[in-house]
Amino acid sequence: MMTRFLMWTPSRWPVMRVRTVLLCALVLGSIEAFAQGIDYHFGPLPGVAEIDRTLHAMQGGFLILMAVSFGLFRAGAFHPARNRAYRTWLKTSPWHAGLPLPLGPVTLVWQDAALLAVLSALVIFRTPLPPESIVAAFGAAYIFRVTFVLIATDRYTTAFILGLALAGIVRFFQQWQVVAGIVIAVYPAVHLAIKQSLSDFPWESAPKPASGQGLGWTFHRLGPEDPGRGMNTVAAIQVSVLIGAWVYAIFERVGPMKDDVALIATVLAFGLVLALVRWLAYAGGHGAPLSLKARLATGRLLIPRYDKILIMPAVIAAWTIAFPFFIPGGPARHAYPIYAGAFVASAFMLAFIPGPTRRTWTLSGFCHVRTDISPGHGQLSSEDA
Amino acid sequence: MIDVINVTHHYGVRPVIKDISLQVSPGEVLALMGPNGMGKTTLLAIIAGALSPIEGTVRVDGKIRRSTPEDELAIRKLVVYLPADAWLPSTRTGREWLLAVGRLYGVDERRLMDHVPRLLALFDLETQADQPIPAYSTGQRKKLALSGALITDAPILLLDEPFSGGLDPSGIMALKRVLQFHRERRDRTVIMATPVPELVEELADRIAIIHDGRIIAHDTVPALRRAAGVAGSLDEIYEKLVNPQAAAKIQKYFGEMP
Repeated sequence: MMTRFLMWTPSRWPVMRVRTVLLCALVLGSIEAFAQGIDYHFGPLPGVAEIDRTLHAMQGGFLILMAVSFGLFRAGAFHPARNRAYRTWLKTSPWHAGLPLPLGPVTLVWQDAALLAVLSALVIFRTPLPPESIVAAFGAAYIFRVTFVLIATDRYTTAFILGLALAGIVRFFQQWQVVAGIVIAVYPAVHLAIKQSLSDFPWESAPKPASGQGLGWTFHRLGPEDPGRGMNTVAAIQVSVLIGAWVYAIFERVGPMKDDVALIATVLAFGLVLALVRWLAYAGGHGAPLSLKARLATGRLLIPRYDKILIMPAVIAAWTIAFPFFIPGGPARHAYPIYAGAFVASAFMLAFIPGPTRRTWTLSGFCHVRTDISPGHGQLSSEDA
Repeated sequence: MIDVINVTHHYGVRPVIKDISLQVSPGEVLALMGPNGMGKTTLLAIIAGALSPIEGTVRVDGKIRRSTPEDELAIRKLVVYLPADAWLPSTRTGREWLLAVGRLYGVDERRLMDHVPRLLALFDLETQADQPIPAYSTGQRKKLALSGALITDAPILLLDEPFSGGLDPSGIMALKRVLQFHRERRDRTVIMATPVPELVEELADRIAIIHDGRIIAHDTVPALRRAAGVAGSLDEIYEKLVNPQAAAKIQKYFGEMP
C-alpha cells in the first residue's frame, strides 16, 4: 500500500508546490528547533514563549496556505476542460467517460483525504487552529476553482449552487466548522457534476457565426448576425440571487452598517445606476423615431411602441426610491445586510427578466437604428432626407 | 419582391415621406430620383430597416420588416444597404474587411477567396488592398464600400448615391458595368437613390421620382417620356416632371444679366 501511495503521489501532487512547502517547513522547523534548543539548554528565557506563540501562528498560517494551494491545484489541474493541450491530446486517444483519466482523477480520492489528515494532524500538534480549518481552507479553495471548471463544461446549476456556497464561505469566514460544513454539504453535488461533465467530453460548442462587430455602418447594426437569445428566466433569477447573496455576505463581513444614511445612499446609488444601465442597454444604438423636440412640436408625447423600453428603468428607479421606506430602524439594524442583498437581487431581477428581450428589440424594435459613429458618417437626419 | 405599403415618416413636424407605396419585382433595378432633401435617403433607410416608419410597412419576400426577430433575420440575410457615406473601420485592411463582410453574410470561403481579388482589381484597389483603411483616399473608400456591398452576394442591394462620394470615372464605369451585368442576369434586385438622371437612364428598369415626400412618377423611361410629353433625355423628363419652371428660371437669370 505504501509503495503504491508513494508511486501515486508525485503525479498527483503539485511537485513544485510540495518542494516550496518542504523548503518553508525546513526553515520554520529550523527556527523551531533553534528555539527549543535554547529553551532546553538555558531554561525558559524571557521572550521565548512569545516567539513560540508567533511561530505556532506562522505554522498555522503556513498549513492553511498549503491546504488552499492544494485545493486550488486539485480542482483544476487534472480536468481536461482547463487544459487545452491535454484536451486536444485526449481527443486523439481512445479515452471516454468511465475510464480513468491519464493525468489523474478529477474528483477527490482517498489519497487527498490522507494528505488532509496529515495536515490536520500537524495543525492539532503545532498550532492553535482547530483541525477542521484544513478541510475548510482546502474545500473553499477547491470549490472556488471547480466553479469555473463547471462553468467551462456548461454545468451552470451546480456552478450556481457553488456560487451560493462561496457566498456562505465569505459570510462565515474563519468560522472553520461552519465553512467545513458548507464544503462537505456541497461536495456531493460537485462530485456528481464533475462526473457528468466528463460524459459531455470534449465540450465542443458549435462554431461561432461571423460577427458584424467592428465592420462599420451598416454591417454592425443591420448585418444578418443573430444577436443571441441571452439569459433565460431561470439563469436571470440565478444570477440575481447570486449577486444578492454576495452583497449580503460582503456586507456581513464588513460589519453591519451603523447608520441608515449609508445603507440608503448605497441602495439609491446602486438602483439608479442599474436603471440607467437597463435603459442604455436598449436605447444605445436605437433612438426614438421622434426626438423630444419633435414630440412636443407634434403633440405626440408618447410613442408606446418605443417608450415601452422606458418602463423597466422607471420601475427599477421607483423600487429604488421606495425601498428605503421598507427598511426598519433601531434594533433591526443587524439585519441591514439582508435588506441590502434582497434589494440588489430584486433590482437585478427587474433589470434582467421583463421583456422585451434585447434580441427582440434589436431586430424588431420600433426605433431608429443609430450608427454610433461621428456625425456626418451615414448618420440619418432630416438634413439627409 | 419588395413591397412598400403606405409608408409615412417624419423626423419633426415636417413630413419627409408621405404615404408612399411602391413595389419592386425580383431582378428589377429601380432608381429613386428627386431633388435633395425630398426623402430618397429616408425611404431607402426605411426599406433597409434602419428606420421604423411612423406609419406603414415594408415587406421583403412576404416578410414584414422589423416585425419579428425571425423574419427580420431572414430579411437581413437577403438585403445589403450601402449608405451614401458609409463608415469603414480604421483597424483593418481593405482585404481583411471584405473577407469579414463576406463571412458575415455566410459567403462560401472558396467563393470569397476568388471574388475578393477580382473586386479589388475591378476598382483598382489592388495596391491598397493590404493597407489599413485610414490610408485610403475618399474615392478609394467609396470603392471599398461598394465592394463590401457586392461581396455579400445579397440578392437585394440598397444603394444610396452609389455614384457619388469621390468615385473616379473608372470607378463609375466599373460600377455601371457591374449593375448592368446583374440587370441582364436578373439575379439582383437593386434600389438606388441618386439625384443625377444621366447615370441611371441606361441602368434602371424603372424610375421613381420623389418630390416633396411623395412619388410623383414611377415607370420605365419610355413611359415617363410619354407621361411628360418630352422626347429628349431623362434629364429633360426629370426637369419637366420635378421642376417645370427650371428652364424659365434659367432664362430669367440670364435675361436679367447686364
